[in-house]
Amino acid sequence: MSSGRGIASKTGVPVEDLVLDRVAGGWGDMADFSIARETLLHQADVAAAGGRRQVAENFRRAAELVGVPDDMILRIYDALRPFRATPSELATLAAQLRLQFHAPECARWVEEAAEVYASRGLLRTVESAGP
Amino acid sequence: MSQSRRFAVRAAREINKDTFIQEWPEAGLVMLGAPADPRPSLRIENGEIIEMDGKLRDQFDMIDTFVARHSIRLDVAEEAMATDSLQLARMLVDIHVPRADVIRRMNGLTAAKLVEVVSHLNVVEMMMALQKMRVRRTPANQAHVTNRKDSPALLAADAAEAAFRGFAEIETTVGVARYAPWNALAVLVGSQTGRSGVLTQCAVEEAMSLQLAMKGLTTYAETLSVYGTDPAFIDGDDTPWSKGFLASAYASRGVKIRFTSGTGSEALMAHANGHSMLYLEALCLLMTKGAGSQGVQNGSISCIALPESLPGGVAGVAAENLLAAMLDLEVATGNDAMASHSDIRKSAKLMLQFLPGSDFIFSGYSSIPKQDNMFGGGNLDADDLDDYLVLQRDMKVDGGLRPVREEETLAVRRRAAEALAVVFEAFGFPPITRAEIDRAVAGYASSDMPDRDMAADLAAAERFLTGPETVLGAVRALAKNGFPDIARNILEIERQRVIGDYLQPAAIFTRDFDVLSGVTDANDYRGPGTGYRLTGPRWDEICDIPQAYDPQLPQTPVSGITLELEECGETIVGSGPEVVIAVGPAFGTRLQQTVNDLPLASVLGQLLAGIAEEGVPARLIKIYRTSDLGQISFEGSRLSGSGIAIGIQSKGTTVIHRRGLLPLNNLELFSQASQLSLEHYHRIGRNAAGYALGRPVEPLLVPVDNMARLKYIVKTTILHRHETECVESGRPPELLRIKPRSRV
Repeated sequence: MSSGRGIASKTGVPVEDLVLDRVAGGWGDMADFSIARETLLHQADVAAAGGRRQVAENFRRAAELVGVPDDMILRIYDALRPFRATPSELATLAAQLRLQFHAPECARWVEEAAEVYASRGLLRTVESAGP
Repeated sequence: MSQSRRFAVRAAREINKDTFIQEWPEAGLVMLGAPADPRPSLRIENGEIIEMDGKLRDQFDMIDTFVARHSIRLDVAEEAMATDSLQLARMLVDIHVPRADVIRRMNGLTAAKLVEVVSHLNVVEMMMALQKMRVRRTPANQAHVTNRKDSPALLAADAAEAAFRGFAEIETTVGVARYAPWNALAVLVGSQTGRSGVLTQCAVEEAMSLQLAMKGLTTYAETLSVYGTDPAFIDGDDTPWSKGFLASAYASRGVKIRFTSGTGSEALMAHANGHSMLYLEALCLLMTKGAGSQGVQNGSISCIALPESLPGGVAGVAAENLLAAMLDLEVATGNDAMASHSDIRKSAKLMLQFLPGSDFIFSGYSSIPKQDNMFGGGNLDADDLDDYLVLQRDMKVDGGLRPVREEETLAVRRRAAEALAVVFEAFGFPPITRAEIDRAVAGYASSDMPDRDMAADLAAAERFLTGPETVLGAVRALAKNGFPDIARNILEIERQRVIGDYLQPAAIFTRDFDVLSGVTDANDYRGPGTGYRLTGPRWDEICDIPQAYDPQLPQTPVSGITLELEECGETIVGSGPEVVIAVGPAFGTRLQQTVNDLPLASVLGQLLAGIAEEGVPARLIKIYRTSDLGQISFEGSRLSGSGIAIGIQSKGTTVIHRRGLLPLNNLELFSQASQLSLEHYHRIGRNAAGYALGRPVEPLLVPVDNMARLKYIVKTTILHRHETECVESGRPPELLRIKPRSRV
């Protein structure tokens, strides 16, 4: 069994304490069963050590997103779909990621998308019918 | 209309229901080498790609830009691109070049170069390369579990059975989208009843899919589709950046993902831009890689009939699987959607993934009947499971499944449905009834399931999705109501999401929640004697199909008629017009019925009756020194007063012999004992008597069955082995008498 020695959940509960007796007794919610930023950074190191650079980069972006709420995640995803966001909307999301959520890699991802979308005509303009 | 009946018969065959077309490169209807496909090229300046596959940076479209920025390893690109494609192709199959060395070079190739490399391989070489290049050493398989009514009890039972049968992942989806949280829950509970550690997912719209994962109801997602041209991607309402963001989002919630791509999708959307299917697929795989997805499902997936309509289509699909493995991506190798009407063609295609093994041989084997497959697939389905299990045993190949017994399977199905009923009750959902459970256990398909109140169900499912309840509520309900083991398995799945080892490439769990992945179970194939080898308990398990019986077990009597013979001392040479019936050494002792289960008592009775009808006396003798029919009858004819003998082995093979003929020559030979009826034995008796009387005899014609050898060769071998074991080499023939009470 992957014991996860030394690993704690997002809420700081050691994985050794994530046991049935406690949960059956009413303890815990999904946050206690959520992966922590540090764990994803560790997984990124494991991937990088195996020569999997892009997998590692994805885990580092994921580590940044641990603290981003579900609805914000869904909002960013939607804004990254074609013709959804104006340049300033994407810039605002990137700024929020960088400043509010300390997610610089994710911010860069959104900015890069904004730059490419601008050159490829994939942004929402005033004329186009956005949602 | 064919003039020839043979052509007409062939025209009506299943294969001719498939569609075949000639290539049309401009429409993307070509596997390889479209005129618009670029030649490989790469130029790097100041750490940035300034030219790729014949395009300068300012000509890059959205996909080119993504690939150039994220997918190609610049530190190895110049060396790799400068290596001859043929040499790279040879490295793929060269057992002296380790996988890691090949991967390092492939990381630096452009799409056009990747395609050029695989184009040098024939299909056998592709299989060799897939065996070497797949990420995980141990092959595995994925199941599809869905049903037309979205019946929760049936989903749970089917997921349990799929898990029990060895599938490492189970994918479900919905008939009605709002059922998603229920279906995900049913498959989760079912899977952890059948076998701990099976990963589950529910394929629905992205936002919903993410919500299910956040509630702890799924452990992986693979609906992240990518396309090889800008317009196709945009028609799919995504970009490489939106999909890449989703990949990070899922990982941030501890959920494994893989992307989806496949040849033909761009042509189907009329956006192939004149490119070949494999070139566009190489771009898809590079985007998958660049986004940091640990893997992909490809192999044309739902478009499979499109490449299969083209020359080289099936080989091309094997090539796209291989391209994924070359890029160090976990690959779930298709075989899910309907690929052909022809069973021959389906099986042949399957071999290209089945024989080398892949991370998931099917990206969804329809473990439920076709009619319930809501992915529109089911190339192989529940009805074909025994065929698949036999293929594993035939080829000595691990296809990821194991044989099961009916009784234990039904017990697992029942337990899963009962466990889900307990969870439903705890959540206050409309109940799962006893009748539903019974039908879910033993029915064939959702058509056997009672109808539920859909409106009430959907309302409850929606409340569940938007409400505060999560998987932990299900864990509590199971723990408190007699299913602590299932509760523990589900909780362990949730705990593993915190640990995150299963986010690494090609990860699956064993039943003990050990992770098998590219990190813990890396493919180390280096030729014979290395890599995954099917041995030990796993091989024994695959061998143990329920149909296989112990050939050493004694014959099971099929009738109550037992022949009992009495030995009456050594035989002398007879005189006058008699017929000798010479039987084999096991006749009426160890063996009591022929290969087609005729009681030997009845067979003997008919032979005697036929002889008696002609007014000829008969003597019965047993030959001990041989089990060979020629020798048995030869010996019989030597002792017969008329020189005529019927030789018969215990398995029923019979000959009429005349003294003076060589042992392998005869008057009449009935070599296919399986075709003989009691009536035939009666007539054999009459014919033998006719020869003894010296009158003309019309030989008996027995129908020939081309399948007889197939059906009976094993039984024949076993029976003949028994007969031969009864041989006593020095013992002379004995006269036999039938004990009265066994006479027929």
